[in-house]
Amino acid sequence: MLRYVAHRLLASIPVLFLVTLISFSLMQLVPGDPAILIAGLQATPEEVERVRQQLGLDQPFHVQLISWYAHLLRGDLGSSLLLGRDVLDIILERLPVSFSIALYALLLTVGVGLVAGILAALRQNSWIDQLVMTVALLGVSLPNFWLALMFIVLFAVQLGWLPSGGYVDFRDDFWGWLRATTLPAVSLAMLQMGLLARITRSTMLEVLRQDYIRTARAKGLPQHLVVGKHALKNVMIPVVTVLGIVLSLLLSGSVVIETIFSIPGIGSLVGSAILRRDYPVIQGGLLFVATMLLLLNLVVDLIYAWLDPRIRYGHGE
Amino acid sequence: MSARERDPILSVRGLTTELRTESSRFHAVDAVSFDLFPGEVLGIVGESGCGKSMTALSILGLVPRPPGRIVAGEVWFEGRDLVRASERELQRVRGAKIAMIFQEPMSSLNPVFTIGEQIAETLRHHERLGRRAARERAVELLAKVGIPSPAERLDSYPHELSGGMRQRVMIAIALACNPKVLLADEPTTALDVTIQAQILDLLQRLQAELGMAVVIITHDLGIVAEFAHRVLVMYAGRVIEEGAVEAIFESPAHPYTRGLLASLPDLEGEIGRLSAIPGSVPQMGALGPGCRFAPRCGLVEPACLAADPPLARTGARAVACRRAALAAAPRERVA
Ligand SMILES: Nc1ncnc2c1ncn2[C@@H]1O[C@H](COP(=O)(O)OP(=O)(O)O)[C@@H](O)[C@H]1O
Ligand SMILES: [Mg+2]
Repeated sequence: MLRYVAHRLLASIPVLFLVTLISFSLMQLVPGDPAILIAGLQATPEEVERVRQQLGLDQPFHVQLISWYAHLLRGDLGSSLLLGRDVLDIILERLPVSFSIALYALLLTVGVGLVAGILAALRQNSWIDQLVMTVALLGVSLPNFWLALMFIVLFAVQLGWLPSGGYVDFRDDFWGWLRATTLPAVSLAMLQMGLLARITRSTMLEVLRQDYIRTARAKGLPQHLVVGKHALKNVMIPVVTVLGIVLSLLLSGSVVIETIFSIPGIGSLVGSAILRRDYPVIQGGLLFVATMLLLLNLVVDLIYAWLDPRIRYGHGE
Repeated sequence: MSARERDPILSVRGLTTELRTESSRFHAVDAVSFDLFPGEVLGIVGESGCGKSMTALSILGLVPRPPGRIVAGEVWFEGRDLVRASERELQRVRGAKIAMIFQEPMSSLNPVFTIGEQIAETLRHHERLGRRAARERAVELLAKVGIPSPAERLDSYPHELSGGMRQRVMIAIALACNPKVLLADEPTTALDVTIQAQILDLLQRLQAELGMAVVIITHDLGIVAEFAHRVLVMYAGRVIEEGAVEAIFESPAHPYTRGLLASLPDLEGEIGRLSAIPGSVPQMGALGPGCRFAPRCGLVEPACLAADPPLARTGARAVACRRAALAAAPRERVA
């Protein structure tokens, strides 16, 4: 088990290397020059060139790349071209913001998606089933930015129930945090909720047809044990496998959602850094997000192994 | 059997279970009636698809719905009609007083729980045993069904056991609460021949030891001959013949029963003609008004096609055939 975890962690190093390499190369291919942005639109070509030299952007691609990796090995992600601040500091400062919203969205996804999927399966073809499936279909087919804008129009502008943007730290004011993050979290969770509800429903229907469910009933177990114990643990297996995808959708969705709701998180940080060609921030942000995803997927795989006794890691796999 | 002099422990009367699919709607179990006496082993035989499993599931109210539904009949057990009992009442009977084992040992155990848990759970639920006590009883039960080193096996998962071992675990679960009735639905059909004999021996031994009544469902008359006291022959959802095992084997009255017997290997172990009965089970959704066996029957006459013959009882025997008298001639002469 420990060997398995160590093995997975080691195996993620080349993945992270590839992620940073690709993002570094892509940024070189995209037109746009941060030196012009920093020097200002009125700057002369000489001034722009001077800025470029200061930032080291005049160096050949491989020199920049090697220098970035050299710094990375010392735990230095560099500093932002535009803000001048240390990239790691910026990320750590924004981490609680993104993390709290992502957790909120994840709880919504699992709580609402799972329960709705189970209810729909237990009441197959009833109005509950129809309602859940319709909302789930809307969730997976409507783009999240459009949903976010509609939510703002309805709940912030028309009804005035919730703020249309901004962020309140949960350590200062929990209710303020909840008000500020509900629309972003719901917009962020809709796609994954719909996905999870649909997968849960179809899996539950499949599981309820299995012979071992008939056995559980033949033992005289009440419905809540048949469904909540015997069926649920089997339903969770495929649900947990899609959790990895759910998490990556959550992280990628946060770039757009944080930007729309002007939330100072890592998503909006990377989003604006891309627009401004702030290379160190883009690189640092992507490295951070990729690391998080790899770790979370490892956790997901461990939960998976715990749920399904037919899979055991570590014994020669 | 002296058992017959006592009151039946289970009385099934006119049990009718409808199956409704997109394309058809039919009675998978059609007016089935029988009594089961304490300590008795009753065999239910018939070709695959004739409604044996549906009959057993109907008794316990376990018919999958959709597509199934009990539309008529009564199942009397301990002074109560299980067809009209509430779900809660049924839950108290299932697994505690009437237990069931199934044909598919590979898929009948839950893959994500240990077998110890799956046995102990029944005890905790019905007998309100604590975790420790339930575990101890589970070890005893595993030993009783012949599982070697039962204490270690408790924490195994189903995938770690062979088919025969899994069926033993299913039997342990079924026997956990000392049921009065065991419904065994083709418990050996899915197993290797040598394992089949072992499981059958085990069931026979446990039945004698515990004195419970057993309904053994099978398509194998050999199993009936070895295990059952009395036998019910089913065809297309209906009981077409009933009687003591010796009587049925001695002088089968229904042409269908005669066909089944003819397909048995004879005393020298030689396999008889494999398809002793020409044709196959009729499409249940498209039955005519006449005898359901008529299309395959060698003794058919026009009147057979007009009306389905009722199950006529004479003493301990019953048969549903207009030509039963003729067909009742000793087996050698017609076969
Ligand atoms: N879940 C089901 N859906 C539709 N038809 C079924 C289902 N289960 C059984 N049947 C039909 O009901 C009839 C009786 O089946 P069953 O009781 O399983 O037969 P047996 O156990 O004697 O082989 C068969 O015609 C079978 O096709
Ligand atoms: Mg069957």
